[in-house]
Amino acid sequence: MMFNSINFIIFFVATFCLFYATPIKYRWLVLLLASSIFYASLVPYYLLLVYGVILTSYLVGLVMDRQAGVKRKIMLWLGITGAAAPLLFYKYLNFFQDNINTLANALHWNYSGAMLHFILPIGLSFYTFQAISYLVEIYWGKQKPERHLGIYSLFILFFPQILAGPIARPQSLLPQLNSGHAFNGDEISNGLKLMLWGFFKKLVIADRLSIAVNHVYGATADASGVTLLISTVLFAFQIYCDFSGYSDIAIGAAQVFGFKLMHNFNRPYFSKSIAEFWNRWHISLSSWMRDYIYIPLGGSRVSKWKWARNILITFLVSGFWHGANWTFIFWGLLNGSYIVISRYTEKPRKFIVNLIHLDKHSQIHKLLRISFTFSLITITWIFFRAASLHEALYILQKIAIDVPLHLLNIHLPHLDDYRLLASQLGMGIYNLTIAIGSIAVMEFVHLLERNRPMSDTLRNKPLWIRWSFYYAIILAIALFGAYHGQAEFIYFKF
Amino acid sequence: MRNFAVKTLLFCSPLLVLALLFNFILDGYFGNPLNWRPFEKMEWILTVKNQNFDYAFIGSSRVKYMVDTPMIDRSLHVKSINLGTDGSGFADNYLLYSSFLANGNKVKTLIINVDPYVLDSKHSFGYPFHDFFFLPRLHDENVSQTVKNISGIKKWLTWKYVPLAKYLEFNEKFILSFVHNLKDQDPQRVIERYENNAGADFITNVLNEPFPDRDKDSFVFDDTDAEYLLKIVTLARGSGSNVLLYAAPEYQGIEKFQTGRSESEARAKKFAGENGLTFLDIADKDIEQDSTFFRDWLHLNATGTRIFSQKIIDALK
Repeated sequence: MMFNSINFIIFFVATFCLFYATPIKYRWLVLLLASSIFYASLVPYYLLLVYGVILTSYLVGLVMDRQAGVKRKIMLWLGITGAAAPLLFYKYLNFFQDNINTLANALHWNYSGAMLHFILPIGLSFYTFQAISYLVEIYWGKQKPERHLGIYSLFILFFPQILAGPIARPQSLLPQLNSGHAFNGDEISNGLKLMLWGFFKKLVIADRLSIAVNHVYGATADASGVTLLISTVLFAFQIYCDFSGYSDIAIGAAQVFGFKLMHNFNRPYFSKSIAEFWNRWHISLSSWMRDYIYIPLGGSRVSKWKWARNILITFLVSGFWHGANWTFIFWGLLNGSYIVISRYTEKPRKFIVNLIHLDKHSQIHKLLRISFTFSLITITWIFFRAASLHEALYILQKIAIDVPLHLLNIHLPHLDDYRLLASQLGMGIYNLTIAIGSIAVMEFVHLLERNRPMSDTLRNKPLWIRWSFYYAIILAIALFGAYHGQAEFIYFKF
Repeated sequence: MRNFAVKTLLFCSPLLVLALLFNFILDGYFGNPLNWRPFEKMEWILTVKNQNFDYAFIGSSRVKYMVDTPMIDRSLHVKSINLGTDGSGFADNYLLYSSFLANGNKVKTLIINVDPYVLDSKHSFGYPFHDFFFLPRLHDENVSQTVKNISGIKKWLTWKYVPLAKYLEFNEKFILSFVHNLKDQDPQRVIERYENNAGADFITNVLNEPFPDRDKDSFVFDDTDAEYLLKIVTLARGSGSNVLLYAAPEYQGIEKFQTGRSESEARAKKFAGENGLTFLDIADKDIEQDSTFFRDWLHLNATGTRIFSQKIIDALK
């Protein structure tokens, strides 16, 4: 069942009632059963796969803790291989097979490996990384193995986060699962408010923008460069609202049951550099990559060239984690390249800023940096969204040719232009207006959240202001949510 | 816990009251077909009241655009009506026809288009049952049962018992309808157009051959479609009407895009035999072989419709 479904609401309310009606000692069991039902509702037999990963990492964790030296290392690699085997099989086997076939064809070899057909288990990349994180932390001695199989199973299966994270760390989630949670009205209320905000982002913005993005990216050959550019910008907001909306629902749902999950987004489109963007976007994955790949490779405490290599490897893995497609690999490498280039160009950029006295106008400088970072990130989204590298390059080329020509003919905007644009985006004036309006509302809230979260700001306001705000969000979801043709969360396919 | 429960109750109570109130208002507002925008054929059918017809033709767009009812009226000196609507399956037709009869209309002979498309509406039409159009009348037992059967019990329960849920799921249609209604045209123009044409619509533009290849159709004889066809027949017979079936023409060679066609047609013939129904013999190779009579593989243009309607007239004489 998806978060944006009636089934989930029924399931959530039932689990909530059962959870708090059960003595604290047995509440983990309620959550484990609920989580198993939740996951099995997608593709029942894939639950066996999750339990396979759970058992492997659980047993290896216990054994590894008693080992030292080489044996400990061998256990770690056995555990990682065992936990990652389903991921390699389901997500990457076809990719390698396909590329071997292409290579064989190019070299005129008589080889054609069969492609396998199956549905990718939802959340596989997420729970595999969570299990690997658990094993590595035990190996490093930073985490004691969890002896309670039920609690460990819940650590992997916990329903708010199994489908698309946030990828929890054992040090953070396991102690919470082991301790009892008394009923806390304020926490529950805060969790529900966060879920509400997540539903707003998903149902009102992301699902509406998906109409335009699917329309344009579904037939790129028919779209003009300007339409492609606008739909790519809309995709930037769609993917943000889709994934951060999901994360808000997940974090909020966990909070309702008394658990704190890691925050996954921190107003990423207000970043002033690509490095900052990656500290604010999909934080649980970025920090996972940092802790388990970038730092073990040497991090930044190495020569400049090795640092560049470490960055590129980390982003390459991140890209490949997102999907078994060259588009994602290129997307990862492009992001890594941005960071490398930005470091190598730090001095000349500072020189230019000083030369044109931008340093004396900090607000303008900040705005320019935010805009430039957003533009660079938007370019990477083309590779993320396109069906193939070939298509992504075609889109880039089309934008590069058409947009300057369009800028030469620019005139004062007219309602007919707006109507034409809405029609080219395949969404009509109604949908486009709601999409733009709701993005404006969200960014306004983000601006207000500069210093502290909206929930904290609202907490000090009179009751009528707080309730009016929540009623307004509920009304907006009710009136402007895109319910028809329930859309899946984008990150579920990773 | 008690504090939380009281707060939740206080927060939700106004929402529930407002939802119930709006649900009531919107049911009344959209229960009136004159308030729908765009005001089109389905809406118009519900505004026809207390009339007697010799013939009524019902089905999908292959009826709406392909039966020239004014021509039939002139030739046979009768009064007929075209009840065909775009992309509709038999469940749509059934609810429309039952409302049509409930509005005091009487029909001597109901003529239904039956072909593999309407007997496999789930695959043939993008949205074969226009549930959203009937939702404001969910209190009607007939509508309620049909929605339950076609849209499924889960949706039916939600739409029926969760206040405003039905308006939320289709909020775009209802909001746009409301907004357009505030600024928009009087439906009178559409009413007059359909009244003058006895419900018929004609396709004037003509595409040149070759028609683009179609996606593969793999027909199955859908029992739910057959069930609703039988419901229409029973309803019509119960109101004293005679019932005839016919199959509208298609452009030759469409079979190459289809599988399961002959099985579906055989099942339809068997179904007709079992229920004492007869197919009008109006198949015409001359029409089916001439692309200038067609707008696409499945729809006749105005010229083709005139020729085909003459075949209907000849069969009804």
